[in-house]
Amino acid sequence: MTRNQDLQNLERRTYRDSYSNGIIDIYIGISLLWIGAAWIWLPDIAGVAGALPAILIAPMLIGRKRFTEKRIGYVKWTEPRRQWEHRNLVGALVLGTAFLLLGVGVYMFASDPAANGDTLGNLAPGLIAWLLGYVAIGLAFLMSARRMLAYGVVLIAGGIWTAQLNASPGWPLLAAGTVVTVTGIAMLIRFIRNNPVVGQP
Amino acid sequence: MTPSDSEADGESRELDFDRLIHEPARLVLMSNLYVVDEADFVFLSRRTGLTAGNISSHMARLEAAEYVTIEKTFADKRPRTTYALTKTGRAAFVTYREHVNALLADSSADQ
Repeated sequence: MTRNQDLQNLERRTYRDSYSNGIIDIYIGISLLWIGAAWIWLPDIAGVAGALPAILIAPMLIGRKRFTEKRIGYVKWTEPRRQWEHRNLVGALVLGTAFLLLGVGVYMFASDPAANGDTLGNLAPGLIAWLLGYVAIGLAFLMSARRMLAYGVVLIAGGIWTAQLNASPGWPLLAAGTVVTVTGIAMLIRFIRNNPVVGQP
Repeated sequence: MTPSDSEADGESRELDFDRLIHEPARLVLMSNLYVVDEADFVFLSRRTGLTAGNISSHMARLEAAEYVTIEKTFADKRPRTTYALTKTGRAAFVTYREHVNALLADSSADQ
């Protein structure tokens, strides 16, 4: 082990542990549930359904900070870590939004039988789930969060299943949203049990 | 250099250890503070498993040596005690690590 590697590992472990509370998972899960449900049951607003999670991200981050600080304490990360966190957050938002919009665009294009052959048309219902699945897998490696890999697999498998059944693209989002939300709630319960609120001296 | 000189040199290097940092509880506190800019009492308590009394007494000693700063504030109407390593503290920690690494390198070379 190199001279500073043990301290880097300590910092990485400390950072990872500080965010193992499931709140972001619940946020992502509910966003997927909302977008999926809007696609299936509220098609008139499906196009703008993605705006709500984007608006709620700032209150979610503030709420998470206040909630977790009472239980695991306050920490100010080093400047490189804060920059890394900012880059990842912006990158994930831009990538997620871009892939969602790309998926919607490709879905609308591929759904038009006049413009396309049967092959692309048959794949269209699964496209959005596949694209979001690739985003999740990318994030899994970027953030060293293995559960994101599982979320990506659920999205891609849901996309395949949806394409085969020619069902609404909202269904794989609902399925993945359920898995992600349940995982997040389980993590949150464990976090609350392991970290009761304590006072300061 | 005679063997006795070498032994004396090794012994003096061992004795060069910063005793303030060398104590296990303070070492773990300083390690945890070294990898962040600042952290509060609850954070350090969770990370290290040390009790409130332990953290307070060790931090008081580190503050007296100007290795850490202690700031008492309020956040959401709750008291918050925040700790941060000073430049002196960071430099002392780096030096301490260098001494330990050098000693470990010597001992593994001897085997």
